[in-house]
Amino acid sequence: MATKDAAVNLKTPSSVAKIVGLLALVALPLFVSEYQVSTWSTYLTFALLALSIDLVWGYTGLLTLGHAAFFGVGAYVTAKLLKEVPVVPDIAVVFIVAPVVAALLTLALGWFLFSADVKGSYFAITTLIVSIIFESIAGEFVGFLGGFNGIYGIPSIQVVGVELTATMSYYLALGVLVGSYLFLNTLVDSAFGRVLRGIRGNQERTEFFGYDTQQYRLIIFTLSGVMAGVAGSMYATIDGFVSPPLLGFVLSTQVVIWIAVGGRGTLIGAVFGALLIQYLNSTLSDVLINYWEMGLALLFIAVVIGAPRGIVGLLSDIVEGVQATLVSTSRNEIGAGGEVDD
Amino acid sequence: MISTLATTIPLQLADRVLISLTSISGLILVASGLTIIFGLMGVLNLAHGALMMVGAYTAYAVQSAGFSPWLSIVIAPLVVGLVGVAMEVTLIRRLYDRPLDTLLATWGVAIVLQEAVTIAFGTSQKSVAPPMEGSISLLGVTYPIHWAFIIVVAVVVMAITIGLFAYTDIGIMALAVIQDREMAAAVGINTRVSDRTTFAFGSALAGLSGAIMAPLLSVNSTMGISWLADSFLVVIVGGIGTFTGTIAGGVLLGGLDNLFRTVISGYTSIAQAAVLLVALVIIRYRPQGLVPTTGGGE
Amino acid sequence: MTEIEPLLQAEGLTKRFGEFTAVNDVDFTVQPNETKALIGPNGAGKTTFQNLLTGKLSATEGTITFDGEDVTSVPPHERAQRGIIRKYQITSVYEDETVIENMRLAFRSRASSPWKLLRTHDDSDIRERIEELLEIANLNDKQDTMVGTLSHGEKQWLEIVMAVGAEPELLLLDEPTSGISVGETNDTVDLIKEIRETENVAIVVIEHDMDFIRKVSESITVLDRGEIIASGTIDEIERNETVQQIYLGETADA
Repeated sequence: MATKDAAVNLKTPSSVAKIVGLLALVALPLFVSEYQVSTWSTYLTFALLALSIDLVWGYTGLLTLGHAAFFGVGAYVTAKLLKEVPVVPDIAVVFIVAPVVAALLTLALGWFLFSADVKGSYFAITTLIVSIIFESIAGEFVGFLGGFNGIYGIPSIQVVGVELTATMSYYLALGVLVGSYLFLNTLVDSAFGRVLRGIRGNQERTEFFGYDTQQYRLIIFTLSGVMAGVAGSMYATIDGFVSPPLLGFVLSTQVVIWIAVGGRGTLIGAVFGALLIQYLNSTLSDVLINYWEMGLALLFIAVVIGAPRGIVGLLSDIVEGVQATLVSTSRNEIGAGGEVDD
Repeated sequence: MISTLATTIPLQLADRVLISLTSISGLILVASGLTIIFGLMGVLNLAHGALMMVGAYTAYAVQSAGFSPWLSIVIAPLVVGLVGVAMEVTLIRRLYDRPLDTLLATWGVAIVLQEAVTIAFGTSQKSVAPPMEGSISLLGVTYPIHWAFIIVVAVVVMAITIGLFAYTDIGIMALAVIQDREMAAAVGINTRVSDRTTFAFGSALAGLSGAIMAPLLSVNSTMGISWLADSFLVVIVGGIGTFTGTIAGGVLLGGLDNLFRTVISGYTSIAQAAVLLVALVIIRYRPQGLVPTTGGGE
Repeated sequence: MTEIEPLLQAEGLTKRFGEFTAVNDVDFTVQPNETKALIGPNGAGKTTFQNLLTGKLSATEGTITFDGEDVTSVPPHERAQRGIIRKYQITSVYEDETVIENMRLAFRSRASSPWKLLRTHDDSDIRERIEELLEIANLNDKQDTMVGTLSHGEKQWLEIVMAVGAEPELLLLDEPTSGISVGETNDTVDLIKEIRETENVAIVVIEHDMDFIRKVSESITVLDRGEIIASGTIDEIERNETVQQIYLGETADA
């Protein structure tokens, strides 16, 4: 299984692909305009949101359709604090306040739902409702949250007195994304991750082996809230503008589509799907307009029905197939040659 | 929800009651198809709102081709019923034992329908005429005939649907298939045909509701989304799998919606959020809904 | 010798679903390391009784004492932590994982906090024990096989040794022969005998099939319509007229 690979192991094709991808992202600011660097920075924050959703959906099987709510809360908290409460250091806003607020919300919602064992489709629908509620509320408070027009002019953050440039913000977002990915990779590879897969595979069986699955689900849901909060916060500082759709279920479901197409339950699929589809979105939607959205939706349907592990799953199947063929041919050759040690 | 009509009227009690009745009826009408598809069949159809939207656009297309609004109400359920058949054949059939994948795939269908309608009709708002113009006087209030028509249609649709599943062979067979597929197949029922017919019927009701509600709403490709969430809540809060549950869910949520709008006037979205919050609490503390299916037990 | 304190003691255990009483005033005791069988026709309340012991259902009346402590209202995962582990009637294993991953999951289940598991990346400490158990289940050469592709019997055996791997003090085996072939049933008998001999565990086998029971347990309790109607050795039970009637009656039905 893909999850058993170490995050970085130079010998496997998937690791080579990951490193090439990372190098491309590192080199990107050298080749594109500052405006595009900012755009790609927002892609990275949405990829972090995708990662947080994949952790919950891909590993415990709980499909959350409301995660944008926590992303959006991180963004709004950051917008208010950066604009109106300058005493709090920017870095603390992004990496402490926003994630803590988001985590408190996921903790509370997680407790509320898991203690009644709300799961499956009910979990999907209740989280969806949460997203709608948050979006409605943000849209209504014109004075405090800017209503439907949102909040403009959020400054980019300062670190030790230096205001981050677009490129610096880009590398910060990239660093946080890569760090989160590596951390989650060790997490899902641990005995803890095995319990998560156990919950996904058969929650009751896992419960009756003695695991407190409610506690596990709560930990994971809260951790994903932390990540969504940081992602939203960084988004606000990069884009400079937040509005109610950032909390809404359209964003939530969009990200779920990216993950499904990329490959759920693989982590890298979430990042890959998020970056690829956002990039295609920006390049193709001008040319193809509605046909692009429609094509993406059709691809999504096809993946859901026929390729649950998404593009990443398909690619790794192909690579494994090729490898297996190569290994068997080389074995045959060796066999023909006769006297070769193992 | 039917917020547009709720806010444009002077707030007499009789007005309020009639508005509430209309919006509750609308809610039940839109949710009726989902009661069958989700409530009875267990199919998490996130394309339900989109099917309703296609119904509204079908009504628009029929009317703009110069035909009577009455005909549009007949054609819309047929067209959407066919869309339902196509969905069942290509997707739903493969996913009966994969509920979360059904939810995802049907969301994909919703987007496809939305984009297809935008490609065909553009992005501008459409308006659809009601079959009967004019007003009637009820309880001393002048009342658009179409509002009364919605109440009548909701009552008739629920009565026919309940009767269909309780008293006709087709309906009883469909229920048998839903409750125990293998047993039904063993006694010689063609389960595939039965599933397809049931799904098509639920879809047709979504189409009908779209055509009937269209004159009150701004018809655009995303109009189905808010109705989707509302319909699911009505079915779940009312109690999955019962028609009386859907009525109860519609009365409670539609009633609360009107109540909150009156109490928290000026903050429509907050009123709406408050209704959703109530629904959330009900789902958490009473997952079997207001009217649980009989013989549920453990 | 002083009297041994029973491992499990159910007293007056009752479960009602509305009007229907599924388990009625049942007293049931299991001594440490004892093997007992619980039999009864379909609908006798065997599974409900088991669900009461494991905490899946909460008792309407009565108490359950385990290891000297009242566990009547303790949640399922905590009962498992204390040592009550079950094997389900319908095999309940992780189909999308390999045999070895299934075993590891079962092995880490007792006395481990999530925080400790978060730091656990090495499974070499449990490897030997896993192989020992897979050996007696004849699954050692299938360690990397996806469980979904195993035969029905193999899944049954896997779930049994997984349950043993969770270090139970009381192992509940719900119909370990359901849906498997005669040949496989004999292997299941051997597996249970092996566990009886080598493991320090009390076993309650819930079964339907008298022939199977005879091979794995000397002590039998018969449940019918939610009530215990007889208890004793195989011979006593086979001579018992009420039991004969129930079983003959059922054979006639079938």
